[in-house]
Amino acid sequence: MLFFSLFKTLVGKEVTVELKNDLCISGALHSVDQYLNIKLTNTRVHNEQKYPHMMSVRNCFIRGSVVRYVHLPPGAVDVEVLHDATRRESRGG
Amino acid sequence: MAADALIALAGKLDIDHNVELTEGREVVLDVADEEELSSQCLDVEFVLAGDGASAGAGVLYLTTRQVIAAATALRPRVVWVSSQPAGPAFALRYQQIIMHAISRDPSSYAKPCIYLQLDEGSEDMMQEEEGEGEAEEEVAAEIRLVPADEGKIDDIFKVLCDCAALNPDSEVEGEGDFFFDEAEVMAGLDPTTRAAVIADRLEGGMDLGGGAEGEAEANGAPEDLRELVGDDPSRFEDDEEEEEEGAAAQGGGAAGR
Repeated sequence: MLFFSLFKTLVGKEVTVELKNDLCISGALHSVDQYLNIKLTNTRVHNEQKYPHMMSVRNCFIRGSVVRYVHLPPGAVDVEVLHDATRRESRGG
Repeated sequence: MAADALIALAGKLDIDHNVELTEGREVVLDVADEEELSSQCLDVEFVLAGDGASAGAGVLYLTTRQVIAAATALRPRVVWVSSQPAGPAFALRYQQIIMHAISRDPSSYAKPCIYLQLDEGSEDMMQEEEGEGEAEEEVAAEIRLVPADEGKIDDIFKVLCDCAALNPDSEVEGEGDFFFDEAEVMAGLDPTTRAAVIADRLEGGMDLGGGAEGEAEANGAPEDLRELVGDDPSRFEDDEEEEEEGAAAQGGGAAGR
């Protein structure tokens, strides 16, 4: 539940979600669920060439299983705390 | 677009077009799979692959199950049935809808609609065409659902969100296994923290039943290898030309187990 908890703290912040099909979508993080399904508002698409029809969709819901990366704004996350938490999680602690 | 062409397009996008319907052209729900109707919307246009291929107006059914089950679900689905008497019907599994959104920008599409993107998978989704020699066209894995009543858009979007959440992928859910590259993690630590982590481990911080035995099991090969090699460091060397030496080493190895 580590990343679910992490993303909950980022609700309202601007993030960029990179999908496994290379699509990059920016927007304000509206909500996230336990499957890391992500809802963004005020979305902007970055690679317009591949998906020219996707321009300015307002709200979107992204299936968690298709997310490759979530790019976070610098300073949004306390990296030290995250390091500690992930180390603990990797040890099964 | 003609029904045949639509079905061919649907096939390329891995959209089910053999949807079971009642005589009255309504969706047959898979009760055994606990498929229930979550929402139904009349007069919705189904557009495939961007804005090229409209299947005309039809009825949109969003089905779901109330309880998340562990098994892979072929149902529930997003089903669309053409209003034409012999028109096509299409079904999408939630697992193949990687993203859906509300599109209100007229420059993207003339009317407000729900935009869906489908999973193309890691492998090439293009099926082998019977007519070879034709260049394979890139088909955009996009669907638009255009309700005649614009006011329905927010509802449809919400139901899609809810149903998608109720129908997660069957495999590793949520965060799944925690993969990390040990070396990369260690390299990224500042020297003080790294030293602390190493010290922590050496003190038996891995909680595996303690002692050297625990460490050996945790570390696997090194301890076992030392035992097996024993007094003969050349035991596991490559065989020499002479058969006796090789046979002796193998015999020694067998006895050692």
